[in-house]
Amino acid sequence: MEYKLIDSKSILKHLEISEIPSNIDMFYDLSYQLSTYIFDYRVKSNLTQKEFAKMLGVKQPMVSKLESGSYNMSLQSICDVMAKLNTRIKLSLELDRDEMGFSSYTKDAHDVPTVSIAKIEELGAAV
Amino acid sequence: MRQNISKIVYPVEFQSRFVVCIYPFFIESFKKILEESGRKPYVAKMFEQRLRYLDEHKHESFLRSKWIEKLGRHKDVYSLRIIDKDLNIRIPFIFYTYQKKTHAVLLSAFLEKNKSQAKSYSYDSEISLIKPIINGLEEVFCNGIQTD
Repeated sequence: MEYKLIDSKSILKHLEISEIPSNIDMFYDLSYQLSTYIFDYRVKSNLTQKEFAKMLGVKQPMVSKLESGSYNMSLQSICDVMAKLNTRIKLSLELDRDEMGFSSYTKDAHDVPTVSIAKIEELGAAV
Repeated sequence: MRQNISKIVYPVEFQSRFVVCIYPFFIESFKKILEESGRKPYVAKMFEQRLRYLDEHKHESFLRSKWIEKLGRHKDVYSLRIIDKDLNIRIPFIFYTYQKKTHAVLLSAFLEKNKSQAKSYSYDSEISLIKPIINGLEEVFCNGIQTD
């Protein structure tokens, strides 16, 4: 069989990942950002999960969940953790629009924005 | 001590020429697992998470061992780990440098043995399958990397 190389965009296209429901899509994208921020923070701070758990005031298994990328954190837990890391989260909201520029929500007369972009900004963390 | 943590900005569309895969071998093997999983959207997004992490952290990515592991028994082979419910998916890959550019090359996808499938799958048999592909990578890279 003859093989060839394809890049990541083509990989995702072949796997039809673009067809994923937007609620699942958003959840994993936000989880990626939060868990990666928490994991990288801990590693850069040279702390074990146990030491990091002590700093956050939680148990070690909770740190493992926070770093998993698929744990459904409550909004309050996110804020609690980020406050301990001296980090502020900002959510940006924008409407998903189709190729004609119409929001899928405005078609139903519900002009409600979806959460699709999150940004984490460092405030300067003291460890 | 003040730590310098980088700002993370949402990537609008994930695209990387650092991470590539062997087509059709990888696509066929992973697509089959995805379709049969009954959890396609979730597994697909977990896969995308690991791709992003690999792209952002490159050779350091295996520090996040729950997501990316370095295989002890098979030198220079790494693996993406996706564990969801009863699924225990492994995606072996290698770092390959061609014309001074390093890429992470996804080779295949398989279900690692777990308690209920103890004798069905193993790393060793998968590695023996992909070894010829690894050995022929130079020739595959000669044809370039295709994108849609």
